Amino acid sequence: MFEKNYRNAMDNIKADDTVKNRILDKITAYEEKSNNKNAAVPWRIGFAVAACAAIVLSIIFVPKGKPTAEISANTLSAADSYSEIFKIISKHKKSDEEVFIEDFVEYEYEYESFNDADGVTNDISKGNTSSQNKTEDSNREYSDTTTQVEGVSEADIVKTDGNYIYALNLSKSSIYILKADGINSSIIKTISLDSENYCSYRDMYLSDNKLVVIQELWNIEDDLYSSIIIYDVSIPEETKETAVCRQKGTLNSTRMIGKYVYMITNCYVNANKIEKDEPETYVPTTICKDEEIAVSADSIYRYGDNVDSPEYTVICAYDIDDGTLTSSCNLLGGTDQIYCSTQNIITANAVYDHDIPEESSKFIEANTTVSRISISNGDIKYIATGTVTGTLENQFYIDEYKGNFRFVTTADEAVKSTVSFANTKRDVISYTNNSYACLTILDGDMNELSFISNLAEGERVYSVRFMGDIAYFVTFRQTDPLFSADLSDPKNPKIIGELKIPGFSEYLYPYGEGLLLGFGRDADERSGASRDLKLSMFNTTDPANVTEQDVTVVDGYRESPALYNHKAMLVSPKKNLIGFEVIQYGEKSNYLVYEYTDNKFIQKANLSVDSKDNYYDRCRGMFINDFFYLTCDEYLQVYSLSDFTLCLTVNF
Amino acid sequence: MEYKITVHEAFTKYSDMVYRLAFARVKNKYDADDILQDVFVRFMKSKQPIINEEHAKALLIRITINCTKSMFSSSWFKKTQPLDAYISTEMPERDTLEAVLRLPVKYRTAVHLHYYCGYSIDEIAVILSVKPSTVKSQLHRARAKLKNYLEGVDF
Repeated sequence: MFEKNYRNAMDNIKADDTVKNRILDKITAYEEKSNNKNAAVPWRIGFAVAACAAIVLSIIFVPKGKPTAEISANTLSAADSYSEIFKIISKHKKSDEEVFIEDFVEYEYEYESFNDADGVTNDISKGNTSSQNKTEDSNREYSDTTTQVEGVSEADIVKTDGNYIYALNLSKSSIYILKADGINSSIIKTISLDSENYCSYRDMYLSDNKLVVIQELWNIEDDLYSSIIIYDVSIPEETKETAVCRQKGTLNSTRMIGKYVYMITNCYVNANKIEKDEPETYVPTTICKDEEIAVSADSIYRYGDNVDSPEYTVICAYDIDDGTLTSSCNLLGGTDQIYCSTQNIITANAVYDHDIPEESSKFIEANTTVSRISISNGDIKYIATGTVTGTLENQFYIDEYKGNFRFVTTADEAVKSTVSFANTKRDVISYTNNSYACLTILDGDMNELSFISNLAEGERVYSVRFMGDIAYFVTFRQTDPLFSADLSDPKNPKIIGELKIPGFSEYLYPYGEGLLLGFGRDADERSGASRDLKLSMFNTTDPANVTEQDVTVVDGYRESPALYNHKAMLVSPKKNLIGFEVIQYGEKSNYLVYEYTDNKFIQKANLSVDSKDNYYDRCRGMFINDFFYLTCDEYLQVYSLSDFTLCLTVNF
Repeated sequence: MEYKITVHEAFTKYSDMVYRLAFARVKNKYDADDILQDVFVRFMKSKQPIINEEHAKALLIRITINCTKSMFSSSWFKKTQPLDAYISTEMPERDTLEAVLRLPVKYRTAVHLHYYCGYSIDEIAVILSVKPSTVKSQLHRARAKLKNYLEGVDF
């Protein structure tokens, strides 16, 4: 039924005839041109006659034959030389037939991460220590980007220090610097970003005197680099670029701690284009001060002589004060998710290649390889690697506490069977529809201290929040059980509470003493079909006996960028503000602001968001002292925080 | 034996296929229009010999996926899905399409290739250069999410 419906609906999606004719004209023109030069069209196949049909089949059904990644604790070691790495990478050389179908393909980098989870907006009221050049009020109270770990900054498209607002505007390829001064706010400087080259801008960091912009860039050979561009903003009116540093690979994630920015990229190597004497063709490179350098062999860690795919996880630290690369660590193998505390980075990579067990026996379809990399003042060191059962969805499924590392995962049970397929016997792995949640605690060497499995059978984990000794997590199929687990003894964790309510939370945020805010969707209790957005407030005063104190459903809205990106959400328990953008399909967006008073959610404002270009997730709300600032693609608006009357619109 | 297909023929045969996959990924008409052109320009410039019809299709799908990829560097990712241009609001199947378009892009892609283009998991794995188990897991998770969005629909 689903298939039929989807096909019927999709059949209606067609390009207009005018579009098609325009393209056909171009094709005709091109064909005429190339026919004159050389009758190159149509293509000819230069292969042996008999092979034609068979080749395609063998391309499609050739077993990958990749080495199984068996990973246990403490197994990575540094390479002694480039030639060692060369041997490992060259195993991934593709046969001509394989290259045939892949041709100029760039590989599937799954760098799009849907961060549905929890964090908390940092309330900051600080005596500002930055330079005297700025005209600033040092007692400003303002909201900062919602992050996971205190002391670890996360990048976003809008940043403020309480005096100035820096807005990265992607539709206009500019950064707008605004003086945040209530009804007198204005743009004081516009930085035009390079939009000529193949590059895209992700987000930014702001420290005392520096603004750091994260960029992705393709060069002529189609290699992809991720870059940090550093600006000196000690006098915001005279902002100037001071340094650019790049490292190879697609952007996975970044963090900033103090004056160090840590950038993690996934760097794929085309094993068919490597040259033994040119390490830069098969190891990651970094570019600082226009000089491209291959990372040293001893900074590359690998497991044995094999790797799952010819890919590196590149972790570099940059000192943003002088714009230098301070250290780098490269793991052979990819990474899905990054967690970062003030001391360590954890890389998590789902591994699907197993030694498949016997016919019809059940097994867990994927496990996660986790590596611990210590970071201190820009110095990165690989420590250890371990494995946890099941897979995790985002950074909030991982936590460091008292030197141990905690993980909540979903394990998907699968079963093997053999079927005949195009005249060959093939192993087929299918799900049993039985998934469950697991809780794993590893020590600092990534050895297992404890493991609880088979929680919430038949369900998947939707959100996780670790709060010191207690972990809260939400699983979902039809109702939304909120589990609480006591982890005070890491060798003996206990599930202490379970609350069942309809719907699910994609986020969990601490909201002051004894309260936990959930953001997600309402659901039909019988069918489990999800509906409109909802906010839940849980009372966690007694973790063993959590109750839902209030719930409010946002009628008519099912979609919000804040379902996937914690940075799109404003959560300020101190100022008692909750803000997020909501979208009705095909209609305009709105920005909703709530407060939580007398155990009830109260909607304080419903601000309309006008955006001609309608870029997704470009809207941010923040407060500075008595004003609320809303930025989107087209403008910044200033509202009075007391009653949300519109005071000023600054157009970009 | 040789297989011949001119770009003209390829366009006539496969422009709808390319357009629908592009739409499933970028979710809006304007980007899908651009991508349709991009894909065939790249197809034209490609020096790859084509083995047979299946290979031409697979190649076009790969190019489409690569062309749409840059759209997801958030700067180009627009949120509107003007389905109204194609499908009336009364059409019962519209819900299904809306639900699929709400999935994360990699899940949408797997669903489209499997349920619309009719490719098997192993074929999708080859086309996307990923492991079959990855495709399997994407389809599995997509179905789990679709069950949430759509009441009482069989898969």
